[in-house]
Amino acid sequence: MSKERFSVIIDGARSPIVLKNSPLLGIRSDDLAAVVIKELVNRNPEISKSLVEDHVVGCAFPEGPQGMLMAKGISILADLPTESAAKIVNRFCGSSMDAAHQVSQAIQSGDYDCGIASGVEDMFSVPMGGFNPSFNPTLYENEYYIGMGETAENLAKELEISRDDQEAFAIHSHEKALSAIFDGRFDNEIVAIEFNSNTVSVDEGPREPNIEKIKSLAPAFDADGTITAATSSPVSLGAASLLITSNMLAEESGVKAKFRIKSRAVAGVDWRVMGSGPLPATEKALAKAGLTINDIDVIELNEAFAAQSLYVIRKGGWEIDKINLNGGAIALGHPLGCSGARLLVTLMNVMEQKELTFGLATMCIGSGQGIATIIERIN
Amino acid sequence: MEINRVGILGAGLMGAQIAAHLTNAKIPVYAFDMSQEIAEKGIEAATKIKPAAFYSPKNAEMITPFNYDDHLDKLKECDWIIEVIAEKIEWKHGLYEKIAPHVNSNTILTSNTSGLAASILVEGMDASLKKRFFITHFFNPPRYMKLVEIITHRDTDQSLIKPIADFLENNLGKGVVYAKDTPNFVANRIGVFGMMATLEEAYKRNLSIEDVDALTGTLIGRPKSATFRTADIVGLDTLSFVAKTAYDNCLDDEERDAFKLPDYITKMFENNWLGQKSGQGFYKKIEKGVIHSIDLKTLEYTPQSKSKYASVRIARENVNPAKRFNAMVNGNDVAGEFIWAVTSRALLYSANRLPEIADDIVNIDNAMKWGFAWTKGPFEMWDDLGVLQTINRMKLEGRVMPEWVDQMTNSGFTKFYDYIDGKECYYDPESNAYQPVVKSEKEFSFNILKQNNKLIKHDWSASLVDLGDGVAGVEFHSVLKADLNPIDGSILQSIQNAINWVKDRGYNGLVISGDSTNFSAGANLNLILNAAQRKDWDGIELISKYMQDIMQNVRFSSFPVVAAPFGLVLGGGYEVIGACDKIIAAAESYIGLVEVGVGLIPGAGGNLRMLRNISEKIKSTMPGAFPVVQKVFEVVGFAKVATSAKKAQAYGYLRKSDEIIINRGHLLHRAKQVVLEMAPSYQTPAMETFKLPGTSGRLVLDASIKGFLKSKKISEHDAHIAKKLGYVLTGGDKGGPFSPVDEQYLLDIEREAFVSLSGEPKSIARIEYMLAKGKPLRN
Repeated sequence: MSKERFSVIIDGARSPIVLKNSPLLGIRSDDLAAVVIKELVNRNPEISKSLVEDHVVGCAFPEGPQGMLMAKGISILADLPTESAAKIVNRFCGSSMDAAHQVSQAIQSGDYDCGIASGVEDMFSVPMGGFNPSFNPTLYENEYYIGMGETAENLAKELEISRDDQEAFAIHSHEKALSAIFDGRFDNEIVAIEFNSNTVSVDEGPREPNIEKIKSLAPAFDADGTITAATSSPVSLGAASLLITSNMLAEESGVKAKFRIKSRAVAGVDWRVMGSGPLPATEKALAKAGLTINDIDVIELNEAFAAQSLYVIRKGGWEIDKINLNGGAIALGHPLGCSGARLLVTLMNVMEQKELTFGLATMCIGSGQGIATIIERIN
Repeated sequence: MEINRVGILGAGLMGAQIAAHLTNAKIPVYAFDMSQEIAEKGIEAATKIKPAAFYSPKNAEMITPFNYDDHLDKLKECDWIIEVIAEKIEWKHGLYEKIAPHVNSNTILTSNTSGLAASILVEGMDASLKKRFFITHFFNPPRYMKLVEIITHRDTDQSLIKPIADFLENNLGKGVVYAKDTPNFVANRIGVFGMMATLEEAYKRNLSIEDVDALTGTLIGRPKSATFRTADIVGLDTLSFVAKTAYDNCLDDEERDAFKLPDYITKMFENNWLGQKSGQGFYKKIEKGVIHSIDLKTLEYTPQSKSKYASVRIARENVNPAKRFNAMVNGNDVAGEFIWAVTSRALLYSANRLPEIADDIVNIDNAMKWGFAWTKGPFEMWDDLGVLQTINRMKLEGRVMPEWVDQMTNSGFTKFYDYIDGKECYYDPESNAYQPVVKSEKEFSFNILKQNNKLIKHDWSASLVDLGDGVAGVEFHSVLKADLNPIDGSILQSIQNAINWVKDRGYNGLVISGDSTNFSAGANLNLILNAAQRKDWDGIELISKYMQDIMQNVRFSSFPVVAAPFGLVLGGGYEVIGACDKIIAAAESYIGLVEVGVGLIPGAGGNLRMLRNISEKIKSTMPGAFPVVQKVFEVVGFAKVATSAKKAQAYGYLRKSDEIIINRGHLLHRAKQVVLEMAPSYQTPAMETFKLPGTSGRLVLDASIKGFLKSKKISEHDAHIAKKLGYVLTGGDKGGPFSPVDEQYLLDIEREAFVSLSGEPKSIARIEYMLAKGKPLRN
């Protein structure tokens, strides 16, 4: 009788996420991602890098310095074997979670046994919207190009999520992240990055909240709205990567695989309320895994906006204490194409630290989508 | 000798700003101070100062901070060292001694002292360095004030003066005044006397602070900050220091008592009411928009109330500044008497200072114009008022003229300046004759040319002048606002006539420039407002079309047209220079398409020029490249005004091929040379086409406008104007990545948008507000 075939995550790593004025600004996305991947490969010698058949890289704006099929370029810079293939995947904010899905799918279907899923975004070098934006008049009429802040305002209005609640959520995100940094809980997921003789090894976003300043900010997107810069995820730069194999390969290599990818799902929603995307995506992922939300021990929910996160939590009836234990994107930053892989790296870390079994990572996607991944820690 | 690097000793407020201006001239600087940290902080502070010391903050990279303890050997690399430390003689002596062993044998050392005598500064200096030492006294802020006084001492090697003076004039754009080694030198001696006399005369007449400032500002050709506002900016401490220096050292000065500090200043000093630096002085800001003035008798701050004077009303009827000034000194009320009193005292005081503080009247006049921003020097003013009448009036009042003035009038000379054989000359007492004013050959002006009968055609607001060598020049001199030169019918007609004239005569080409403070602050808004109020849309259409056509005629003329702008170059002013083949801009040019501020968009080709300039700059080969449009949209949509010609290049108002000239006085000369350089191989440019993004790009702009509006970063009307601007910049209905549009189509849609906006009530309100208050209305 043949054994069940599934995909497992051997390990994950990421760069620190940095904000404007960072000493890392100016580093190329491909160089940054390559450093993370090299470290990931080096610290897992049991899986020979010659086994990596494909490298899938998520990036939301793969143009300019992130263009020219950056995935293969990163592979070369990271010394992956010439024989391994590479591709870019774009599902906006869900790009690198989708990259992980694609590698997982290929492994599960038997196409290959080992792949790397990465994500990277430099939001300072390539502007949101790209260098030469061009809108379709019909889609414009249909508000397809609606600003992300506005979509979050729509959600805040629907559930009457107050500015105070959003600010409390954001402050809590910073507090959790600061305490994680203080306790060294990010240490084994972050790879220190050196650039222009500066080394950065800590996320730059989390800071002691300045309540007075937070309260004094003007609404950022709608003068009559509730969302401010303090309750939005900041523009940032970062890279993350995951080494994924089949359970068979892991076994043959004598590696004790830590995480099984239990289920994957994507879903579409109205683009004017794109922030609700995690709800249907999670529902699908739970159904495929044969689980309910109550079975999930911990959740990494991408914090595009505090209002959007609170919408998902309230509407889905999720337990807030299970969410983003080490802080979320409002504190850490949300480098679009990097975030999906970053959530999975952080999720694995949290599950190991707390010895939990089922974890969910999910995020909303501009254009009106949601994506979700459920992983299981293997004892 | 060549100056390739300058050392600055003392990176304080003044030292760092001088360093900044050297970098504006592309000269690298070593800036020294007591510690590395102080030096670094001083440079850092200069990047933040307002008005900006640097043309671009990036220039700061050209200044290397050093300290006296570790880096004095670096002084060997400096060709010129300027000492700018505090005015303490023992400190200066100590520093000179410390640096002496590290200074190269041919390096020049100067001090920027404003009060210490050169003869005292060199005490104890070794003979070799002494020869290479003199004073170069810059005025604050050094980027903007033209004056540098040079003061030598007995042992200065005179052959070293010219290279520094040439460098100051040609590389730093400064004007040099040769002053004698007397207390406060020239500008501060006369300027501070003028202020002290003004205080005294005002106090005597019980005039309020605000009334004195209203009377002694632009009304009589002085800066807007007039007397008390200037005192607050300079600081009572500085003012008192200069006055005290004069009082203590000028024992034979016939007006010595004027330098004695009045009681109220002593009291204000005790209260630390020093002006801007201590938050209050003669004026005090009570809250936003509310400024009280001090009552000199009670020393209490009270709300301002401006008096109305018949003499001022009558004087203001004169557009000509000289006539206005004349009317003012002859006014029969207290204001007239006051102005006469302060003016006559200043004139007489200046006359009495010759030859004590300078060799000739030219140096004194230049000092006051360049160092105190008077529009005319005392002797030029005197000429304007009529020398004989003024002397008679003073004599009737019992005042005594200096001998040399009596000698002049007794010899039948009735003016301090005269044009003789087309040359500007000044009265020289020693030879009892007129001598030519010595000027660099690069100093060239319409005024001099006109004195030499080179005027071809005069119109109300512009003239056509023969610049020589087959080059003609259009000079703007608005009949209504000579200092702002709004583009009116006369200016436009003069440009058109000039084009015809140059073509008919087979001249080499044309220069468009002027002699006044500003090239042009924009189109004549009154014209547009009047037509809009009459709902004469066809009239507005005609105005816009007329301007566009003339600009295109400039562009497509068969000879080179070179613009030489300076000062404000706004709106229509920019559209004039944008149409020219090349722009030779004064470094201090403040260029901007500011139409959005008055509810309009550029209507005479401004959009077109910016699309061309930015396309060149970004050099995208992509059809319909959005970044080009986005950049123009940001610059024009936010009405960005460049704070220097260098900055204007960054914004795209100026092209890489345009030139920046640091010395305003050399502008016309260079523009003429450029015409002569271009003429032999000149080819009329071809009509250009543009591949713009079209609707797909316009929607991207619309989406961001929507976002700005929703977050109330802009008003409804701003959004309305921005959408029109976006429509024009993306190529209207016809434009698209694969459907190029030509210049004429872009001009047509620009004009259409311009006319439609000028009919909007909110745009009209903006124009009215701008005309009344001189600042934009946000509605």
